[in-house]
Amino acid sequence: MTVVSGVVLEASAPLRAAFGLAASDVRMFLRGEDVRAVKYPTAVRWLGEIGPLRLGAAVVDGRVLPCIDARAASPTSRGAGLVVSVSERGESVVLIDARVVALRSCEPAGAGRVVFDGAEIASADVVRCFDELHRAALELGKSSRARDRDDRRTS
Amino acid sequence: MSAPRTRRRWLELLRRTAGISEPAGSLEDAGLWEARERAAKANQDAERLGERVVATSARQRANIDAALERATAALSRRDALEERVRHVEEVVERLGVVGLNAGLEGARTNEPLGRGLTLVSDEIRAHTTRGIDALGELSAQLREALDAISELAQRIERAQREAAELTNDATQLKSSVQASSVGLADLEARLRKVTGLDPQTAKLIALAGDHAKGLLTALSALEASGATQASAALSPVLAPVLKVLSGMVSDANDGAGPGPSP
Repeated sequence: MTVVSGVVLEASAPLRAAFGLAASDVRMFLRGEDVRAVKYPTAVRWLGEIGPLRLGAAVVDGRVLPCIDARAASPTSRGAGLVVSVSERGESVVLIDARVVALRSCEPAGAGRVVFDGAEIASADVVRCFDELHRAALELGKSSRARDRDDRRTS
Repeated sequence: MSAPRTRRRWLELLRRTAGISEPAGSLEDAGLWEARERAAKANQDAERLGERVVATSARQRANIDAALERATAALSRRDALEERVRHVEEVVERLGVVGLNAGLEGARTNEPLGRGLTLVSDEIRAHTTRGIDALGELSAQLREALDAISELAQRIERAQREAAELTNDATQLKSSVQASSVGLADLEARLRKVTGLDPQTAKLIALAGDHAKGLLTALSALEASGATQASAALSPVLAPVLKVLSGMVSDANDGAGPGPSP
């Protein structure tokens, strides 16, 4: 059986929402080919929240990329971001403060899952994350425009 | 002179000398002088000790001031120390990120190179995790130490205030002892005037009085025991004493008019 190398992350609520994982998933696996690097953004601007997702824009290596606040309840890191991308779509997203549990080669367990430390964990679908990101961005835009209209009416 | 009569004479002389059978004005005066001497001696001791207390409290204050200065200097570096620890934590964390990126590179690279990179990454991340944990402990201990120094500084400040009070008290004590010395000098002058004695003579009178009382006690005991041969045995020793005493008593009687003869 072919093992897959990648990163095991702590599946915080924002990450579960972004990757469409179940509430019972406490860890998630990202394939190595989808994860570029861990970078420190030079600037981060948070734009809004859709449910548990907090969206923003981060400047990484001179490029402006969408970012998700992946912090768990008690943040301990200093704002490093995991840059995740899918080369065929040419898109990248930065998972700010995502906690890396391990770097491993895991055996696939079927149905989008892999085996990590003897237990099955969800293998995250990055394409779904981008779709979710687009959907959230649209919602954010709609609610922002509605707010602007309300403000204009009031004034 | 018969032996009993001689004994009675001796005893009478001694009683008079010791101030038992007549008013003991001179002995009282001598006692006053003796008390004055004791007071003067105690005053000198108090003066010397007072000066030592003043000097010691001044040194103590200097030490306390220096300790407070050191504690304050240590506390003033609190922010800088905490900032340094934060900086080291950040460096170690960034090292962990370097290790993580090496691992990610390994995850994208084919075996066996990828495997090697992952192993190096794991090693680096394990070390950085331990380093961050140790830095967290160091930071907590540093905070505890600085809190302890802060408390110490507060206690030193209290000690400083108390040392200042002690110095003031010691200075007042020294002044009081000096005033007491002046009072004693005045007392000496008045005693000279009232008693007509000088300290040396008064001391000798008091000494002679003490010896006379002791001799009288011993002779009375000897008389009570009925030792008949004691008179003959003591005669060579007591005859000169008797002679001196007779002279002194007759001189006194001559000076003070008619009175009992020895």
